[in-house]
This record gives sequence, structure tokens and C-alpha cells, in this order.
Amino acid sequence: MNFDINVSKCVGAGVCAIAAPEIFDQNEDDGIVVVLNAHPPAEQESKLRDAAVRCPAAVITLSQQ
Amino acid sequence: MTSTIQQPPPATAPFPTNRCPFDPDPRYEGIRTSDPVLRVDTPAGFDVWLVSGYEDARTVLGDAETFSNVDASSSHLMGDKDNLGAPPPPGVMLRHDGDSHSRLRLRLAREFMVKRIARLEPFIRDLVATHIDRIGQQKGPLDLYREFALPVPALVISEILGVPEGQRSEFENATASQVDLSLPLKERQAAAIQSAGFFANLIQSKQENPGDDLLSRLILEPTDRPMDAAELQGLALLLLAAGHDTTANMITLGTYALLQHPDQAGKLQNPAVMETGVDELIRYLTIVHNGVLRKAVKDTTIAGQTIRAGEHVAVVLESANRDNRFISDGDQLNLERRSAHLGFGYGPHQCLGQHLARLELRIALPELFRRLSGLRVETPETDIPFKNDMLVYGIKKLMINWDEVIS
Ligand code: HEM
Ligand code: SF4
Repeated sequence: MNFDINVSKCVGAGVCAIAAPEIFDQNEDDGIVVVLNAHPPAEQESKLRDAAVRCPAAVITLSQQ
Repeated sequence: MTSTIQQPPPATAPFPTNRCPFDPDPRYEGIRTSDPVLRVDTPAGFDVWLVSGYEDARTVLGDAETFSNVDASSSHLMGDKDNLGAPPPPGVMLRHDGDSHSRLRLRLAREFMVKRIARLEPFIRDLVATHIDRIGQQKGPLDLYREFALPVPALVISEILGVPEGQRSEFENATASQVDLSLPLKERQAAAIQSAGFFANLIQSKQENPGDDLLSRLILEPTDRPMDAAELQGLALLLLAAGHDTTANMITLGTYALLQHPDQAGKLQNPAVMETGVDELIRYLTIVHNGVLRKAVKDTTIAGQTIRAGEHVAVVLESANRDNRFISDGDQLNLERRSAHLGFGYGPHQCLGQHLARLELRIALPELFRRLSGLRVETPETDIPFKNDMLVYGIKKLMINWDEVIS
């Protein structure tokens, strides 16, 4: 499962980094999301979904394939 | 053409609520499905649209272009309708919109990010240990709120802001009196003025003598638009207002809830459970209650209801967090569940201090239960002073007792 991320709307809340720490981190300089793995393996799908639904700025959108 | 919209008279709002004691006011269960957007009157003298369902709550809080934060989140409860529309005080990001908000928020985001907050763990562990030791040196029963729940988060904030060691007890006293409802209003206001003066001095001393702390970094950081003293003061007061009593109430109410749910308290010592456990407590107890206020700046529709520009909406987080379209068995406390709860809000104003709050609770609650063996509350529930009338829910005084303090 892949995803798109609209970094310009990220508010740096870091919810993604606790929901899916293998996939997301935050930039030390401004707290903005850093993608660690743009193509997470299938077993991380539930964490990715969790991050997407919890991101308060709704900047993570899931895409098939 | 102008049209007059006939509106039905407002319903009576469920404020102050009647929580029982962990559940939302029982009226919300019906309101959420029958009147998801309900016009109600408020103690502050103006009517608001009450939004109580989960998806609608996300829609409102997630759409900051339609719903402004200019009026304080609690204006419908504590405010006065004459103060509506006043310009937001400098630095108080919760009341700023758009670029003005994101400039402040992004400046602070890195200070509150997970990795940065994690560095405070040894400091918080130490603080929690010392305060439990101090409880152990006294004889029960004693008030957990005053002796533990209030001082611990106050001292964490003073560490973050860089309050010098020698001034911490002054800081702690002023902030504790500010929220102590047993004190007369006059004394609380005097305490508020005292903390404003305290911060003004602190900021001046950081400007003269910067250290390794949040305020100094905000002063020193090279930027095209430095923060002035008024903004720094507004920010410091906001961090205290938003981060002190909230965390304190979660500690006190959380302890009581866990004592009433021994099966859940038994899971506290399992670190894997506690990764999600604190969030479940925050969902279940949803202490920021009675609605967070927004003001529509353009006409819009929520759940079929037209909301006009200029009208206010109060999003009832405690109701949304029990909505069975979002969560099954939402009335059960289950520390092992994961959810996209709204206890920290949602959208661009979602709690800035959430990772700090999680860390404090993840340390404080298990330690209280581990070290105070035989921890109990002897007061019958009907005599426990719950904060139904307050902006942030909790317990005003929780007398605890224990058998033995374990090291
Ligand atoms: C368990 C404890 C806490 C709870 C339940 C909580 C809850 C909330 C909620 C619901 C909001 C959103 C209010 C709204 O949308 O109108 C919020 C915002 C905020 N919180 Fe917390 N909070 C907690 C702890 C903290 C701590 C420890 C800090 C910092 C030291 C903090 C700082 C803030 C700030 C600065 C905002 C405004 C953010 C913005 O406007 O962008 N909170 N909090
Ligand atoms: S949760 Fe969303 S807003 Fe927060 S850091 Fe991640 S992407 Fe950004």
C-alpha cells in the first residue's frame, strides 16, 4: 500500500511518528514530517492507516497498489 | 435579496454537565443521533450549535478555513458575550488562525516533537519518584491533586521554560493557587496577576541572560520575524494554562478511574500496553469537555444543518469520543485498544503538548500504582468533588490512602 503526503499542510503534530514509527519521523529543525519509507511493506498497513486517520491535518492519503 | 431564517428557540444546553462520573452527560447519547447539530443557549448568554457526533466533530475541527479560533475555546462557558470578537492576544496560538497560527505553531512544533520530549524522561522519572517519596513520608489520607498531580506537571513546565531552581516553588505556588477553586475568586485573580508578573520577569532575564531552554531559544533563534516580549509572555501563559491543569486532572481522575477498574489497573505495569493505554484513558475520560468553541466565518452546512457566517459551534469531544459509529463498546475502558480519538482535539489546533502529556502520564500513573501498595480512596463517590462545572473535567480533591510505600 502506498500513500501521498501533502507536506505543506503538515502542522508537525507528530501523531504519524507515534502511530507508524517505521514509516514517519519528524524533522529536527521544524517538526515537519519526514518519510522514512515511502513503500511500506504489507505488514505495516494497519499502522499506516492509523497514521492517516489520526493525522490532525489530514495530509496523509492512502492509495492502492 | 435578504431572507430571514426562522429558527426554533434554542434548547437548553447540557451545561454544566452531569457526568457519571467518567461518562459524558447521558443526554448526549440521544442528542448525538437525533440532533447532531443542535442549537442551544449557553451560560455566557449567546447561542451556539452543539456538534456531538464523531465525524461531524472532525469536519468542524479539521476545517480551520471555515471555523475560526478567534474566540477562546471556552467563551461559551466562562466568557461573556461582550468579549466575543476581541483580537487574540499575541503569542496565544490557540486563538490565532491561518498563517498567524501556523507561524507560531511551527516555531514550537520541534520543541514538542516526540524525540525532543523523550529527552525529558529522566527528569520526569526523578520528579515523580521524589514526589512519591514525599507522600510516603506523610500519613494518609492526603489529597493526591494537591500533593502530586498539580506540582509534577508545573515543575515539568518550569523545566521546559527554564525557570531557575530557586524560583520554582514561587512558580508552583502561583500556578497552584490560580486553579484552586477552594480559594476565593479574588485570590485566584491575584495569583494570575502574580504569574503574569513572574513571566514578564523571567522573559526579561532570558533576554539578558539566555540559557538552554525554550524561551531562550525563541529569543536567540535567527528568524526574519523574532518574537517580542508580549508574544513570549502570551505563549508562556498559554503553555501553562493548556498544559498544567489538564495533565493534573488526568493524573487525579485517571487514578480514580483505574481504582474503579482494577482489571485495567492490572495492566499498568506492562509497557507494551501503556503505549496505547494512556490514549485510551484520555479518550475515555475526555477531560476537555462541554465543547470547544469555533466561529463560522462563512456559511456552511454540517449534517444537513446550515450554519451562517458569524455563528458559533461548540464541538463536544466527550460525546464524539463515545460515538458508536466511531468506536464499539466506547463506554468500556480498555487500555489495549488503539483509536483515532479526539481527546487532544483535531485539526491544526490539536494539542501541541500531547507527546509531553503522554510521557508524564505514562510515567506517573504506573509509578503511583506500583509504589503506593494498597492505594485506595476512602471517600464515598457521592462525596468526591467532580469538576462538572469546569472547563476541564477532573476532581477538585482526591483523598488517597495506602498501606506501604515500595521503593
Ligand atoms: C492530558 C493532558 C492534555 C489534554 C487532554 C489536552 C487537550 C487539548 C485539546 C483538546 C486541545 C485543543 C483545543 C481546541 O481545539 O480548542 C489542546 C490544545 C493545546 N494544548 Fe493541550 N492538552 C493536554 C496537555 C497539554 C500540555 C502538557 C501542553 C503543553 C505544555 C499543552 C499545550 C497545548 C497547546 C499550546 C494547545 C493549542 C495548540 C494550537 O492552538 O495549535 N497541552 N490541548
Ligand atoms: S501527523 Fe500529520 S501533521 Fe502531524 S507530523 Fe505527521 S503528517 Fe504532519
